[in-house]
Amino acid sequence: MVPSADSAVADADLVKTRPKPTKQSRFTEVRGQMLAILILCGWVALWEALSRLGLLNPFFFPRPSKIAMAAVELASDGFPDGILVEVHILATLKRVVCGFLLAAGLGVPLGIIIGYMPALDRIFSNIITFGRSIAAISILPLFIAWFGIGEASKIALITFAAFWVSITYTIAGVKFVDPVLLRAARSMDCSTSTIFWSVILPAALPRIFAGLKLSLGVAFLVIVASEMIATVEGLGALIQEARTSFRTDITMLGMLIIGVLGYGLACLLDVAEHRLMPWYKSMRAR
Amino acid sequence: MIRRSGALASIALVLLAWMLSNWLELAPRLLLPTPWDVLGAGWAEAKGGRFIDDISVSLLRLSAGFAIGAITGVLAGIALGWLTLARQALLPVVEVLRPIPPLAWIPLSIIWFGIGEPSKLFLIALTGFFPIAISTFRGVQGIEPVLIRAAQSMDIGRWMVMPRVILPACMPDITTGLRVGWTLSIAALVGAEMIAARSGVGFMIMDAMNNGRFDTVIFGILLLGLFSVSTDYLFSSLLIGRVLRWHAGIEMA
Repeated sequence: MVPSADSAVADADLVKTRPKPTKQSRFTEVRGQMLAILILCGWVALWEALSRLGLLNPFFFPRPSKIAMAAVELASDGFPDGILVEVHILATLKRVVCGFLLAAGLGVPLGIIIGYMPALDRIFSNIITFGRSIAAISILPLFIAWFGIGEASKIALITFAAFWVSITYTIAGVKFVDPVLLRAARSMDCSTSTIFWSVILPAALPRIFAGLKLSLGVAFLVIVASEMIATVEGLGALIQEARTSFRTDITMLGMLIIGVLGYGLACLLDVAEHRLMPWYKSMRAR
Repeated sequence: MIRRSGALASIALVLLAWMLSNWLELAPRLLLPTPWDVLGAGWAEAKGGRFIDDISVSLLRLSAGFAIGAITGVLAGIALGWLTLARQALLPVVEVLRPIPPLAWIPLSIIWFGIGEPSKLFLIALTGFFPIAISTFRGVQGIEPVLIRAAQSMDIGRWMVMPRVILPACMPDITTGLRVGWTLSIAALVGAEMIAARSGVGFMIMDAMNNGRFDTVIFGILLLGLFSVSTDYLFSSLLIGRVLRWHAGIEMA
């Protein structure tokens, strides 16, 4: 009962493999989404109405129309000191994408090697479990000292955080290939390299992708926090600066942008997953 | 036993790599202290008076915040899964708020609750809330209708379905959510203490950085990592081993 690198993966599978409760037709699904959007609009309208009636403190809960105005302000004048919204978005995106790609580029190949060789797995599994358990944000001071206060330390932090997740899932993917597939391939006299490229790798891809999606989420989590420490550009800096200037509307708007961006990036990976593995019905964990 | 020797081997490996980079002087000793420096810094911290305070403050924040998040999360998840009206009215809101990373709530939590303890409790509770609520919700939704019909056919009564059937049936999902929520809560605690606090282990790290004491920084990082690993281990062996033993099809590690 030692929680190793595998147990976290087993947890994820536990949730994912549950059968969907009901089979919905395409029509009812669309209708459900329309309903959800309508209900959201209803909540926003209620919020607006309550603040117009003076029942909500405008500093704690700025009315939605004010948040919309803040969006216009952010796009035309910029905040703080004229930094436009797209500058913030691009700064955050650049850091997330660079860090994520580095982490995937390191984590997936290393994970494949470690997963393929049980001896390496035994040596490294504890280190990887520990690395994954370190709260990435706590490393930031160290990385600022090593790599300076600029972009490098932020990208390094994202890489660090996302690396452990991607390597964990890649190892599990390679290790837990269905033994029946391997036996079948061996019984057909496939060479080792054929087994690796045509059996192990495709069979491991779903888990590798699950790990990449998770590590993108982790990258996002880390960047927003690290941008609140010692930066002026980026969405994390934006919401923190807005807070110190008592602009709750901009803080909320910034959080909304962060949420939409994170959701958009996750959707992008879903599309990539579908392209790369058309045979594997994307079991989106929702 | 193989596990234990593996653990020793990996510690030795990390120490070796660390000392090698010290020996090669990859970075000045101030920025990359030796393992012994870090141990010394830990000893100095432990002898100083603040350390116990920092640790107890962090532990208190974490346990109180997580307890709030766990209770509200499980209740919300059950409500979302069981009551159609709650699901239709609140699930869209949850889905909109969920992609926002927990630490992005720090500024708003300061606006709402000030810079004192309540804002930290709110942040940690919120961090735990979403994963716990969502996985509880999935658990309730995934319950086999046969279980509920069987219970009803045995005249269990409307209100006893909840504690006798629904809660046990979605226990695996709840524990998964609790485990994920716990790890995330630790990260939220550290982030909140580094960005906006005057006490706690996160503040200790930030303070040490500002004083150029990177041995203390590394000590703090390792301390937090050890805490996270060991609590996760306790969690999985106690809760999953004991509570879920009877559950078929649960294989942990």
